[in-house]
Amino acid sequence: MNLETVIGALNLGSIYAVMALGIYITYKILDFPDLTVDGSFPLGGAVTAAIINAGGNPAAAIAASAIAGTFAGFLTGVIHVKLKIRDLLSGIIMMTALYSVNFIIVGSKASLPVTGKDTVFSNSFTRNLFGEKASDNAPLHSLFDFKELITVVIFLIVLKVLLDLFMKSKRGYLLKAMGDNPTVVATLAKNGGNVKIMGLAIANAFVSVSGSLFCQYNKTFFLTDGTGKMVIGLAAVIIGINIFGKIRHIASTTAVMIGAVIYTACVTLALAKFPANIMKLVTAVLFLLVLVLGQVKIGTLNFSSKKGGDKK
Amino acid sequence: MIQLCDICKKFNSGTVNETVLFNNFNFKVNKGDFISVIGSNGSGKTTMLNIICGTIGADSGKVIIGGHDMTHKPDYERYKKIGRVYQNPALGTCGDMNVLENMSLADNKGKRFGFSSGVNKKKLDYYREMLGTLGLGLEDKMFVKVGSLSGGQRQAMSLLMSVMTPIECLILDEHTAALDPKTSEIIMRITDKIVKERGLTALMVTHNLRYAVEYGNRLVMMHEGKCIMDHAGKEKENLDTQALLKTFEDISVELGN
Ligand SMILES: Nc1ncnc2c1ncn2[C@@H]1O[C@H](COP(=O)(O)OP(=O)(O)O)[C@@H](O)[C@H]1O
Ligand SMILES: [Mg+2]
Repeated sequence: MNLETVIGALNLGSIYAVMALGIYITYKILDFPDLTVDGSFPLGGAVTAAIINAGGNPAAAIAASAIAGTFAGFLTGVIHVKLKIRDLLSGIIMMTALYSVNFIIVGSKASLPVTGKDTVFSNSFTRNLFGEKASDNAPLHSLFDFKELITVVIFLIVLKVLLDLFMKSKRGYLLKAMGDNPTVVATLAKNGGNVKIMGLAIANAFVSVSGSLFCQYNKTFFLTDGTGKMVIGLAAVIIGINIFGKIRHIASTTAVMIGAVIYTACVTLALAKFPANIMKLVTAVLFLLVLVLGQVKIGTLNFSSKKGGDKK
Repeated sequence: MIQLCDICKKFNSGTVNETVLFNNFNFKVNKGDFISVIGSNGSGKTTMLNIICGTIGADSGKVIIGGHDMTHKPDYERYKKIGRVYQNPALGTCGDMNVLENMSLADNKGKRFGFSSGVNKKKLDYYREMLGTLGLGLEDKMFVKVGSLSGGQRQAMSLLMSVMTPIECLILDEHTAALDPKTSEIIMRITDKIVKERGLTALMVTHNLRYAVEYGNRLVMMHEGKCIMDHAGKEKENLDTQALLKTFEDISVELGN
């Protein structure tokens, strides 16, 4: 394994970390297994590919993806809260619908490349900063090789800080309270259903932004980009919260981001060793492993040092 | 203040387990009343509170609160004027959030939950002082998760939180039942103090006959979805636990026949 593979895994892990922040909101805070993800992730990619191909600004494409994702999550919320459909089914309905929506957005093609166009990873600004191409004689010693990673990490940090700030606001508290104890939200004279819808909308904005970065990184959008993304995000959240969330002074959002990078690195390593036909099988086993290990009380292994504890 | 008119409520309608609980049930809570509600298990006390608060709907009948017909209004609309403490101490607070965060949430009831900071550090001392009056040591636990507090501490917090902002009516469902005798005594005294100081209308379900006799100005006994005793004022003052126990026994004898 070479350094390039490692950087590739870090790039991908950091992109998935944006998605994991979203899944942290639904799965961890709201306790809502949101399958919209497998549709809203490629939604971000589809919107991005379409906008960039139409000559749009790649940063604007990210903003548009966020709006599209917000809307998708909002609809899942409305289906669940207003039409009273179970959480899993609401997500499945949206995911199914989004497949066609994405198909339409990219002009009824199974894939849409953005090669030769400016992306957030490759534009006049990054070319000035990181240079035009890697120096041949010193691979991986120039800043150029890290341009994707640096760009993604900047996005990631900004989004994480925004999410942390939101979670500390009054509205963020209401979201936390909703996942913790909906009865309290009702007695506060607040419509808990609307709080849930808001949470789903925000979460899917993160997922779509991740999808947008993914598409710009790969320089192509594939209709199948969403497959298995929910699993990746969930694994990231579970690994992050169960291992790093227990350590004092590490915020849950940071833990989730680390979880995403580690899980992606593990999957990349594992997949490099196996033939393509059993890739999904390996992924499934890895995910199962994460779930089983997630049940182990890490606190009993003396990792835990959280103040107050979280007995229930 | 609160009026239940011709309330009917069945559970498991149309199945073999169908239970008719309320059949044209009527109940009126006057402004300023502090009512103790007693009655055997399953007599419909919690269901009555749930119907008042909109936690569950009645099959038919009307719920009028403060002169407004609230029958078809959702629970969160009704809680604008109502505070509620549950039997289970965990229901009134957020266990994963700390004491300060819980107090801040409650303090913001009736206001906008916007993007400003969730906790106001300037109010820390105010909250500490308020918690200090409970005498349960909560003022030193501002940054402790509520989930790791004792049941009594949690229930005391639920009580404070439910009356932190201006409400008109306080609903208490066996709110001392899960506590040890000493703590339950403390909580009961605080409840009485708050209700009197704030001039609240209160509806308190209790299994403790002594509390029912000692506190409040009106006493109601429920049985199989009906009010079988309703004493107010002087009449209530003359009641004692012995007399109430006797009534309970009479009911059981009637059931036995
Ligand atoms: N959700 C429910 N489903 C079926 N039966 C219920 C339900 N809630 C209450 N009941 C029935 O209604 C009756 C009154 O219950 P409840 O109001 O909880 O009594 P109390 O609070 O006076 O002990 C009981 O017989 C109970 O079995
Ligand atoms: Mg009850």
